[in-house]
Amino acid sequence: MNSQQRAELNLKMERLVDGDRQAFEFVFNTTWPLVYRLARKTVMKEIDAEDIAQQALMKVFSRSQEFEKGRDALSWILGVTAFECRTLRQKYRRRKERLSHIEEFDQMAATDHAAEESLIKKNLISTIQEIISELSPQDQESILASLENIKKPEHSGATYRKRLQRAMDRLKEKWRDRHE
Amino acid sequence: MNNTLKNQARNAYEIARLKMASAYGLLVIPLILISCFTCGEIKYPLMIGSILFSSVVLLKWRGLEYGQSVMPGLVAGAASFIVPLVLDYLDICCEGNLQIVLCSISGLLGGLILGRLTMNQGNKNLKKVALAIIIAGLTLTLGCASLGISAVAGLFTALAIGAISYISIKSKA
Repeated sequence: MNSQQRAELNLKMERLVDGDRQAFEFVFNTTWPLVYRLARKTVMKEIDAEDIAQQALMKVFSRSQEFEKGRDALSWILGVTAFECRTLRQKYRRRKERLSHIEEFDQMAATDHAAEESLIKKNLISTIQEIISELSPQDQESILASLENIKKPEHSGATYRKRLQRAMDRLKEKWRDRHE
Repeated sequence: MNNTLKNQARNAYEIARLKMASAYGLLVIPLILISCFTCGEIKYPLMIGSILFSSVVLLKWRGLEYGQSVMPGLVAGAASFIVPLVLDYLDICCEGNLQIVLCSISGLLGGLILGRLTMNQGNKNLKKVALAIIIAGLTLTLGCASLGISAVAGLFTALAIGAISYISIKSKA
C-alpha cells in the first residue's frame, strides 16, 4: 500500500467514524485483503486463516467507533487484527487440545471395554474347565474330542454321538447347579 | 461470500454505532431524573425526556452533521437548564408571567452557548445549527416543563435568536 492509498484510508476511516456510510465500501475493500493476508501469516491452515480473518474483520468494524481521528488507520486496523488473530488462534488451539483430550478418553474407554470383555471370557473358560474337570474321565474325553473335532476310531459314529450327548447333558446339569 | 461478509461487516458497524449512540442517550437520564424530582411532576419530564433521548440516539446513530449537532445542543441546554429549575424551586417565577421572561433569559443564555460551541466546531451548517437548537430546546424544556407552554415557546424563540445572532455576529467579525 503506497502513501496515497494510506492517506485515503485515513480519510475514509475518519469519515466512517463520523457516520458517512459511503466510506464503508472503500474501507471494506481495502481492509479485507490486509486482514486476510495477516491472518494467513499468523495461522498455518488456510481454512482456519479464512475463519480467523472473517472474525477479525468483524472486530475491526464493530470497534470502528474507537478509532481516534489523526491516528494512522492502517496501523490501527492491523493492530486490532493482530490482537484478534492471536486471541482466536489461542482459542482454536485450546479447542483442539480439548478435542484431543476427548479422543484420548475415548481410546481409554475402548481399551477398558476390551479388557472387560477378555476378563469375562477368561472367567467363562476357567469355569467351564473346572466343570469339565469334575466330570468322569470318559465324559471329559468325549467333550474334548468333540471340541478338537477328533473322532476316536474305536467307536462307531452312533456310539460316539450317544456318549457325547450324555456327557453334554451332565455338563449342562453341573453348569446349572453352579449358576442357580 | 464477499457480499455476505460485507453485509455482516456493515451490520457489525451499524450495531457499534447504535451502541455508541445509546451511550450518548444515557447523558439525558440524569437530566430527566433531576427534572422529575424538582418539578414535582413526572408526566411532562418523562414525555419530553423520552423524546429527547430518542432524538439524541437517532441523530448520533445517523452521524455526520446530524450527530455533530447533539453535543453542542446538549451542553448548551444543560448549562442553562438549571435556571428555570432553581426559579421554580424557589417559587419566585409564578407572579405576573415572570416565568416567560425568566425562561426566555435562560433560552437566550443557552442560545449564546450553543452559538459559541457551533462556531468552535468550525462547520456552520444550517441543518446542524437547527438540529442543535432543537436538542438544546428539548433539554431546556425539561427544566421549564412545569412552567407552562408559553414559557416553553419563549424559551425556544430566545434560544434560536441567541444562537443565530451569535453565529452571524461572529461570522461577520
